[in-house]
Amino acid sequence: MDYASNNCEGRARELLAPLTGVCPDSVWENVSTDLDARRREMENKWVNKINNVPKMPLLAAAAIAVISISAWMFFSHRDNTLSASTVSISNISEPKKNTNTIASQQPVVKKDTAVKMLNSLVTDPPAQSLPSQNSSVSLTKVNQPVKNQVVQSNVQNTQMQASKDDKDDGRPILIQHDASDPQVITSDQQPSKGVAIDLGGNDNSAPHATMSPSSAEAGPIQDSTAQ
Amino acid sequence: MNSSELIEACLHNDTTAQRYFYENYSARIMGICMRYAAGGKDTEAMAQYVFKKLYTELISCPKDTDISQWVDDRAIWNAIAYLHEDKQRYFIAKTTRYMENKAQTGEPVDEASLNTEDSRKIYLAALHALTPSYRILYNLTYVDGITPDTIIQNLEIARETYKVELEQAKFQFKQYLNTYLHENGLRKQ
Repeated sequence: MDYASNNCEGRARELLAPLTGVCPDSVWENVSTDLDARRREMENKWVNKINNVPKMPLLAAAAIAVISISAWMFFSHRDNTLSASTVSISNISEPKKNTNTIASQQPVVKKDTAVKMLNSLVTDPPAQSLPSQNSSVSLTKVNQPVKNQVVQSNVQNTQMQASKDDKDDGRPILIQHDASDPQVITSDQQPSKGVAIDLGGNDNSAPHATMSPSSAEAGPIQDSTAQ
Repeated sequence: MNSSELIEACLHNDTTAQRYFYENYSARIMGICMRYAAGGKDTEAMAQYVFKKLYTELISCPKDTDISQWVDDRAIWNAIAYLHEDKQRYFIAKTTRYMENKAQTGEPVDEASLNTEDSRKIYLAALHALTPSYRILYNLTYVDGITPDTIIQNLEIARETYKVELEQAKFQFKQYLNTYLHENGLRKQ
């Protein structure tokens, strides 16, 4: 025979769901004891951690930290000292601004400029030199005379080389110095031996009186003006 | 002191706040433990276990929700955890004792004739008579009203296992209920 109702699950929920009870004091005593133990454990947590940490890794880490900080301070101090000395030197060597400001600010360019300026001073007349306050402009203008100077010096070198070659042949050397017509007259054009030096600077003196081979062989040079 | 302040104070090991929390929720937690435990000293032991767990889990309590609902939910699952830890009693052989051959003597007792307190005692006694696994499933499903999916997920059991064991628990509970009602009727007579 079934005594329980057919909906005993619903009845069970109705009766048992709001069920409450009275906790005996022993429950709180045990719980509070556990909470106190946990509180003491939390308080001693850091102390135990510090005590249980091995000392050697801590000492090693401290030593490494001290060394690295010391090295950093040393190198940083040395860099500051070097930079300070550099600043003082630059202050001493700084030229006046009214002479050449850009050149003083760019010392590398100043070196090349000085060499070119030297060449230009040799070749150019003083009137062509530009004001030194505008060094960049003077550099560009000076380049052209420098090229001309190089060409002229090459011509002179050629003349000197040709005269050296003539010495080897044992032939007479004619050295013609004419600033307006840098023409080299080699000894091939003058088969006669001997030396004829033309120190005149005029163009109309080109057909120089040269010594004939017969006269050269005959003896000393005769003065034609005497005749 | 609102619930958020209470939780913060308990987390900072404030003894007064912990005592306040215990006094506020001990009756409710004790009722849950009376349903899930087998009765007697087992209820007190379960209540201690649940309270210790709750003080630990307060850090995960959501601040903006009802703390009472959270306490009920965590108390239920911690009570189940307590039963699971007692392996010796939990793995009792699930042999049903139908008591179907028990002689039914005396006049049948109408359940409606009993007052609420007597009915609650009879239902609680029938619940205590269940094996722990059946008691868990019956409480979760019919008393606490937790969905089957949640039960299956939290207990990590198969759905078929849940269904079979719930049917057996339901059947066994009804048998115990009939027995206790009959015994109560006999006493009344």
